[in-house]
Amino acid sequence: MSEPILTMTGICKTFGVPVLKDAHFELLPGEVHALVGGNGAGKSTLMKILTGVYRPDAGRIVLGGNDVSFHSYEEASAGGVRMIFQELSNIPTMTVAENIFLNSEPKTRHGLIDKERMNRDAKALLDDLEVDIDPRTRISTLGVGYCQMVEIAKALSREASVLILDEPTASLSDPEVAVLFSIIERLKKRGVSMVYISHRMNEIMTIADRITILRDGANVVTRPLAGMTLNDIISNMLGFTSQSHGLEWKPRNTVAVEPMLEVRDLVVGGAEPISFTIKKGEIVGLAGLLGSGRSELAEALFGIAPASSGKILVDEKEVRIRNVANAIEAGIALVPEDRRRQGLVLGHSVRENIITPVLKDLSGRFLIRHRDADSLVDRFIREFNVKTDGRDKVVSLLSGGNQQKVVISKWLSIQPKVLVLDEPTAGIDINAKAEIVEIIRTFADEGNAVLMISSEFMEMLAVCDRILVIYNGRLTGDIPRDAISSEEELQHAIQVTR
Amino acid sequence: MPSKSPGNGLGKPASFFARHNVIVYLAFVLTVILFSIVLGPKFLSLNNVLNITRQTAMISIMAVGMTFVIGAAQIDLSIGSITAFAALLAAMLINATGSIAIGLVGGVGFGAVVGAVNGYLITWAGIPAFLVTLGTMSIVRGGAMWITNMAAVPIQNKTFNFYFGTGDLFRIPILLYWTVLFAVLGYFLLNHLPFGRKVLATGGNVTAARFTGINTDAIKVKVMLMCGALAGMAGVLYAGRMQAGRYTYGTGDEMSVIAAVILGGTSMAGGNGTIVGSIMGSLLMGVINNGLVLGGLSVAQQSIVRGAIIIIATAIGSRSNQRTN
Repeated sequence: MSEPILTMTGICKTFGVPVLKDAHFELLPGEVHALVGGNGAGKSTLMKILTGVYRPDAGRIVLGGNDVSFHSYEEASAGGVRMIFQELSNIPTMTVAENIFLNSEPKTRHGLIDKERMNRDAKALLDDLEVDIDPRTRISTLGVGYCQMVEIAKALSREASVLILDEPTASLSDPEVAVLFSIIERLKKRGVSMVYISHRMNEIMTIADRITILRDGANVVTRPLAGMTLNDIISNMLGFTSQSHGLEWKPRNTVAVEPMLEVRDLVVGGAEPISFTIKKGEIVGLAGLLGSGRSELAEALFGIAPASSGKILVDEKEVRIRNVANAIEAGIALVPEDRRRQGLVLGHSVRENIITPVLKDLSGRFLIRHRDADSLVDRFIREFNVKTDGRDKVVSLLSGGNQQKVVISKWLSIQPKVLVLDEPTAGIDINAKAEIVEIIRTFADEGNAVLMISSEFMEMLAVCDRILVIYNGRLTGDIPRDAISSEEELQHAIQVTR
Repeated sequence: MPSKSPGNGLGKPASFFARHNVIVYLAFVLTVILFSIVLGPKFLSLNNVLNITRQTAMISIMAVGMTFVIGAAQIDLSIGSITAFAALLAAMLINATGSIAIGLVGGVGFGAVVGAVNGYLITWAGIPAFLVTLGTMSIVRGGAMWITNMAAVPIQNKTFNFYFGTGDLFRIPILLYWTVLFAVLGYFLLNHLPFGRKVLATGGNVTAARFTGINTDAIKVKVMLMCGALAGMAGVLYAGRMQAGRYTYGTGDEMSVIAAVILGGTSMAGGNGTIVGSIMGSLLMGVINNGLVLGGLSVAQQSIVRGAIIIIATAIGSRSNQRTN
C-alpha cells in the first residue's frame, strides 16, 4: 500500500472538557475516507484542527511527508487542504467564475482582473467535473446542488490534495446526490483524497473506501468498509454506552388519553401528507436525518412556512395556521433550531426577549405593566435557574444553555398547549441539558403536548414517550419507547426507507 | 470588582456609560460651556435659549419619528421634502377654507400618506428603505415646486401663525410645547406600549421577531407612516413659523434629523433607541448651529465645524460601546 498523504496522531483538544483524546486519523492517496461518530464525538473538532480553525493541545499532523501546523483556514487551504462547508459559503450576488476565483482572481499585466481568463479557467474546471454550468451565471439563480458543484470546483481551483466534505448531501435531492457521487469517483481517479463526513450510513457504504469511527473524542476503529454492515457501523459508533449523561429515562406518571395535537394529512413543501397525534401529557420525539424534513414540519406547525393543505387540531378544535400569530393564538410555540438567529434578539436584554410574545397580556388598556413584566421575568430566571446578573443583562453575554433557557421562558410565558422544540439542547453543556430536559418533562406533566426534534438519540430516548421517524419528508415509523431498547435501533430506523 | 446583587441589572460602570448614552449629554454640556465662555452672556440669555428651542422644534419632532424608523433598522430620507409639500398644502388649504383644522389634517395627512407609500414599497416591493425614500424625496420635492410653480404661499390666518409658529404662551414659545407633546407621546409609545418593543425587536433581529409572531412588515409600514406624519406636522409648523408655505423648507433636514438620532445613541443598525437621547441630539445640533452663527462664522465654516462635531461625537459614542461589549 502507498504512503499515507495525511496522518494525524495523538491529537488532543480540550474546551473545558476534553473533546479529543489522543485521536488519530490517516488518509491514503485517492481514497474516500468516511469519518463517522455521534454528536459530540469530536469529528468536526478534528477537521477544524486539520483546517487550522483550532489549534490542537497536543499531537502531530504530517501532510505529504512534512510536519504542518496550520494557524488559519487560509494557511491550510494554501497547504492543499480544502473543505466543502455544510453551509455553502458562496456569495450569491456574484457569478460562478467570480466565486471560484474569489480572492485569487487572475490579473492582467496592468493589475486588472482578467475576466476572460477567469471565465475560461472556470469553464475548464467545471468541464473537468463534467458539470454543465455557464461560469457567468449568478450563484443566486442556481439550485443548491449546483452551488455545491461550484464549491467543489472552487476547492479544486488551486492544487488540492485533501478535500473534506462535511455532510455534503444534507440538502441535495437524490439525482443531485448521484451527480455528486460521480464527481467524487472522478476525483478519486485523479488521486484526490477525500474525507467524507456524514450521518447517512447508506451513502457511506456506497462511496467510501475506509471508515474511521470516533466516539467520545477517541478512535474506535479504522478499517476498510468492505465487509461491514450497517449494524457494525452503528454499534461501533454508539458502543455499549456507559456515559453517565445524567439523562436517563424516568418513568412518567401521566396517563395520556385525550389528544392535544392532531395533525391530519398535512402537506409540507410538496412532500407526502403527514398525520400523527400527540396526547395530553405526552412527549413525542421526531427523529430523522439532517434534511429529512424535521425542521420543515416544525415550521409548518408554527406558521413560518405554512402547510399547503391538511388539518391541524389543538385540544380537539381545528385551527388554521397561516402565520406565526395564528400558531401562538392556537397555543403552539416553537423553540427554533437556531437560537441565536431565530430565537433571540441578541442585543436585547433577557427581559425584553422573554416578554416580547406576551406584550399584549402584560399591557393594560394602553401601557405595558412594567412591574408585572419584571416579576414574570424574575420568576422564569428563578425557576429555570438562568445564570445572569439580572433581568437587564444583554442575552448575547449569556452562555448557550442560559440563552436557550431564555428562549424556552419566552415561549412558556404564552402558556402554550403544544411546545415544539427543534434541537433544544444542541451546543449546550451537560448540566444545562439536564435542566432543560427537566423543564420539558414538567411542562408535559401539566397536561401539555411536546414534539421534540433532536439528533441526540440518548436524549430522545431519555425524554420521549414515543418517537416518530421521518425520512425524506415522509413518516416512516411511530415507535413507542418500550419498543426501542437502544440508541442503535433508533439509528437504524432513521436510515431506512420503508 | 465588587459582587453585584442579582437583579439590579446596572452592571459595570462602562455599561452604564453606554446604556444611558452619556456621550450626548456630556457633549451637550461641554458645548454649552464652551460657547458660554467664547461667546459671553449673549449665548446663555433667556432670549437666545428660547430661540434655540424654536429653531430646533421641527428637527426634534422629526427625530421622534426617525427614532422609531432607525430603531426598526429602516431609514427615511423623504422627510425634508415632506415638510416643504406639507407646508404648502397646509397654507393653501387654510387660505382656501379658512379652517386651521383642514390645513393641519391636510399637512399631517399628506405626510402620513407618503410615509405609508414608503412603507408599502419597502415591504411589498422589497426595495430597501434607503432607495425607496431617496426616490420619494425627489418626487415630493419636485411636487412641492410644481404645485405653486415655485411661488411662496403667504398665510393670512393670524391664529394659525400664532398657535403653529410664532406665538408664545406664558413667555414660552408655542413650538416648545409642540416639541414636548410629541416627545412625551413618542417616549410612551417606545417604552411603555407593546408597539415600541415590537419595533425594536424587528430592528434588532427581524428573523427572531418573525419567529415570535410579530408582523414585521406591518411594523415597518407603521413606523414609516408615523415618521411621514410627523414630518407633515413639522411642515405645518414651518408654515406657521414663517407665516407662509415655500418649496425650499426642510432642505437637508433629513440629514440633521438622522444625525440627531444617531448622536442620541440610536444604533444605525437598529434594535435600540431612546426618545430622550434623540431630543438631546437635536438640541445639541441646535446649540451648535446657534453658537456658530453667534460666533460670526461664515456659512462655509459653520458647515465644516458641524460635520466635524457630528463625527467626533458619534465616534466617541461607538468606541465606548465597543469597549463595553
